[in-house]
Amino acid sequence: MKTSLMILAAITGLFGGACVGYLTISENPEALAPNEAQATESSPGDPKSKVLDFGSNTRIARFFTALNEPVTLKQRAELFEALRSCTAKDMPNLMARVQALPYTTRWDLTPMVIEHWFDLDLAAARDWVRAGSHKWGVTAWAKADPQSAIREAALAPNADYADDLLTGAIPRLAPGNPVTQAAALAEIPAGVLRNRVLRSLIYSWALNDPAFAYASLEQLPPGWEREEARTEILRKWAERDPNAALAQMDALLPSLKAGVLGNELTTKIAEQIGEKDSKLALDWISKLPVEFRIAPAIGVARIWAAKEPEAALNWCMENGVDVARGHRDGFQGWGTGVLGEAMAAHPEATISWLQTLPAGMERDRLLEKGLDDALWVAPKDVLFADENPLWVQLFQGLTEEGQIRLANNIGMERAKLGGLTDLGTWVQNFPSAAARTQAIIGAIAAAYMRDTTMIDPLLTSISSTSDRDAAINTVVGIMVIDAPASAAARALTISDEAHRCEALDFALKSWQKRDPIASRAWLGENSSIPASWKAKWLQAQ
Amino acid sequence: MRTLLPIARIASLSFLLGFGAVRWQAAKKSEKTPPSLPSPASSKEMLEPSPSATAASSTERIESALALGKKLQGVEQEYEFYTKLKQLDVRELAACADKFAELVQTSRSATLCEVWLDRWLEVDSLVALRWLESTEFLDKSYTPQNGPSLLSILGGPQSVAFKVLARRQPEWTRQYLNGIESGAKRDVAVYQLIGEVARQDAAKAKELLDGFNSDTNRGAAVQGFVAGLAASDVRAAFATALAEAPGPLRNELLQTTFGEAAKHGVGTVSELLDRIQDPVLRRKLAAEAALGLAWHSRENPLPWLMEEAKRKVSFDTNKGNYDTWSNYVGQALMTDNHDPVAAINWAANVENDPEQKLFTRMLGDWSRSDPEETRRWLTEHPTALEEKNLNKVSSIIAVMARNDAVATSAWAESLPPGPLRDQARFQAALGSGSEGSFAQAVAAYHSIASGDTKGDLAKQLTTVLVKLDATATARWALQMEQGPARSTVIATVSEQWSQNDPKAVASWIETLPSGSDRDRVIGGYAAKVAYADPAMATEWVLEVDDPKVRADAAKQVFRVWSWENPVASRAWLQSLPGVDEKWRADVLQKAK
Repeated sequence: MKTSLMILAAITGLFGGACVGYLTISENPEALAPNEAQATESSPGDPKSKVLDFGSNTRIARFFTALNEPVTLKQRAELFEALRSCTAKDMPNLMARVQALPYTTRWDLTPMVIEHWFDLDLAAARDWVRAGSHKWGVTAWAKADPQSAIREAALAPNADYADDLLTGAIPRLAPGNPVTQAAALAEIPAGVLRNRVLRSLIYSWALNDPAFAYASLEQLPPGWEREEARTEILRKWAERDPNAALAQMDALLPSLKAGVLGNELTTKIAEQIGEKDSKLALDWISKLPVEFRIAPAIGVARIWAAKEPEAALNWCMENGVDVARGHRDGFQGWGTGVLGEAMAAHPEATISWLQTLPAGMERDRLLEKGLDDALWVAPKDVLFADENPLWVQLFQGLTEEGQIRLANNIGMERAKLGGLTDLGTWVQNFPSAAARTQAIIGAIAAAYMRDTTMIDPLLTSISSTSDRDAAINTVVGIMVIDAPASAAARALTISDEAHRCEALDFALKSWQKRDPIASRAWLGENSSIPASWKAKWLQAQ
Repeated sequence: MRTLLPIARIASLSFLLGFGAVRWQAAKKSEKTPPSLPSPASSKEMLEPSPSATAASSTERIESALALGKKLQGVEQEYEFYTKLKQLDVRELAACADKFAELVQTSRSATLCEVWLDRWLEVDSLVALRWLESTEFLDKSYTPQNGPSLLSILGGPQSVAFKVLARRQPEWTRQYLNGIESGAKRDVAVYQLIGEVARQDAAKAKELLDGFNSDTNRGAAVQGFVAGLAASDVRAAFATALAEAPGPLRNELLQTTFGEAAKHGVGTVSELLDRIQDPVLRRKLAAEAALGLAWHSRENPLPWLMEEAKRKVSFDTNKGNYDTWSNYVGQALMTDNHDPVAAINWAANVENDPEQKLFTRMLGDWSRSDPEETRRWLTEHPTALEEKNLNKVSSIIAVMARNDAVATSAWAESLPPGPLRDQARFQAALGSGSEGSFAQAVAAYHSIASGDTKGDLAKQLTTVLVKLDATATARWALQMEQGPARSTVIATVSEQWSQNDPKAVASWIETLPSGSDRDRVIGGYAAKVAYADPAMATEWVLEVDDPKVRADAAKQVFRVWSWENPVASRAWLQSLPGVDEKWRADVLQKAK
């Protein structure tokens, strides 16, 4: 009996000791990292117990604690450090916890966690990726074990991650060796998957061996994908070896067509070369058939203009390239042309160049375009400097019509800078009444967008009644979007009766659609509105 | 008792043995785990280089940190960089400040800027601040605001620099920004200072905010205040935002608040929304919050959105609000989707979505993430795809067909006869059309042509066909029956073909007899030729007899030309014969 008891005590003791020992290893810290705790609390859809059930430990807690670090890169370094202390056994638990986090945090953390998991336990990490078709883990898989990644893609070619597996794995089989990579790809049956992967690989081959990448293009089916790949390869080639790329372009030219924007490939390659050697690019462009020339000439000259504005502008004038014409990127995209780029990088020199042009319509046109572009791209502190502002230098040279056309934009850009308190004085820079009104409208609109409370001091600074009415009318027009009631009240402050009626009509119509009861009540109660106006609006309701 | 004592001893001994064995096992196991990292050096070690440190090793450390800072790709490199940065002592940090500044300015990397300044301020704030005072680093890191919202530039290097400074050295930052001229250039500094102070001490931040009451930077100040306060007290932040005068600034403040409220879940969002009186604003903020919930919480927003959508709201006054609602809610429900089928089922029948924007947005997202399930849903819900919706779904099927023509084609053939099958066949044919089956695409179009009353599908087809064989497409267009589809096709052929081969279109025009077909071809041609030669395009406009087609073509030519020559283009439009005077006045007035 005694012996039995002793044996039992020994077994119980051993078991108990083992349990306590085990428990002290897999510690279960009471406190989750604050972010994680908050995420769990704020997610009634996920019971807290589900998260806590994973059985956390100090290494995992350390990982989540790192999320509290406010400095982004420091946080990521701490996360990585914490991750490196985790063992293979920790990983399923850690990954489950990460997957229970909100989307953005999960999006940040999953790639690093799965990558580490692959380093520690390839089979388990692979199972996790397979089980959930987790695209996030595919790159890590391909990196950790390219052979099995390729096998997996071959077994499941229709899986939505098959191409990512191959694109990630094949370069790792033979880094920097496109020939071997191409041979590995050839093992994949011909079809959509192989074409997709080839396209991706071709882009990477183009970085180091554009000639090989270019030769591989033939394996892609004809169509826009092949053409897009060809453009990219030639661009990379042009970056590495401009003369070799131009030789290829010369060979291609007879098969290319020029549309109304020239030829996209020709333009892109010329621009790529122009980044480093404008002269080489422009010399090549000058030999192109005329219908190919204009778009790449603008593209290259605008790059040159950012470095040497006068030389680039003069070259354009001598070669029939309109410096005012925009740089087109297809039919939807549009950027500044040669004049705009010169204005952005060297506004003073560009203005001097413009001022040397002979008087006439062409000079007027370019001065106006120059200021228009400057308002868009030139440094605003230079343009609107307190002393001798550049915009005034250009503005004074414009025709009256041109001044009126640009005044609104000038007012707007000036007000965006802030610090414009005395609008009434500032608009004296505009000699004509029409331009002045436009400048006020632009300035008021921009000030309203910046801070609604800034409007009243600006309005007060305007002494002309008609200008102030125009300004209030602008405020009403914008305010009606967010605050139709305030817009209607504001409309009542317009001095001119006809304009007041018009502005009020505009505000009320919008308010009525948004809140008919409130607008009707306001109209009924407001004694400053003539009865005849009220009757008209109430009847319309 | 005497018997129990040895038993207890044995039990204790066994307990210790068991405990020890498990610990020993664990210790052995830990030897197999990856080697632990060297423990971080104490701050003293970091600040004082070892006596053996030479000038050469110092240079190496600096160069190594800078080299790593240039290629921060992936967490491993970021870790290596940060480790190197931590190894730089105070003298080295001061010595390489100019180089780091240059790297920040060339790379425009905000994360690099943040970690570098934070580290330097942590170990040697005095020298770091002196350097900032004596250089133009902060000024040169300025990013001009290129849009209506200050929030768009908060991710730039200057902004994060001020954020770090405001957190570590608020008083210095306050004094520094006093030296910056009032105006847009000071916005970011003001925002970050007040925001950081508000995170730590709302009362102190309020004092700072009051100092900007009549300042041009008041907007940035209140934005920083609300953003900072929202992190610690979202209700107080909401109250501040709501107290602002209605306008764009208040809208942004409320958006910030609801972005933060979403992190607390649907309950908080609903509570705050109930205090918004204006139904249009409420709807807009609900859309913001829905997106926030999808990104920052695990809660399924669908049940709440279903209730919120029942509230009556007019989208008439601002189409943008309708788009915001459809896009944000659609994105929210398809991001990290809890139950896409339930969400799609709801969106297919939701009220107050006259153009089915929410439904098509969601279906489009779903078709990209899970085309197979999308096709299954379409098959099972033919009633959701009545005629008016079917055309909207067509673009989604088109994308599926482009991505996987074989699967989409097989699915189309598996469908029962009806409009959905016709549409699916057509889109599948178009998808494969880009690979060469011109006749198949045309045949598929004929099966649905009777429903194509506005010619939308004909336009889609023509765009594909022109790329395959423009001459054949032009021939086919002229063989079509009279009607809107034919007009659309002819205009589309002309525009698309002119883009790529204007000479060929000019030759085609020569073969056409006078009449509406010729007018449409010339109209499309002139609109595109304007990009290359506006003066020539204006001559072609005069060749168009039909006043409506002439006006359309003239408007296109004027739009392109007026960008580079407003004077000449206006003069031309003012004297253009054969157009309606009201139309002319309208176009000129709308142009600047």
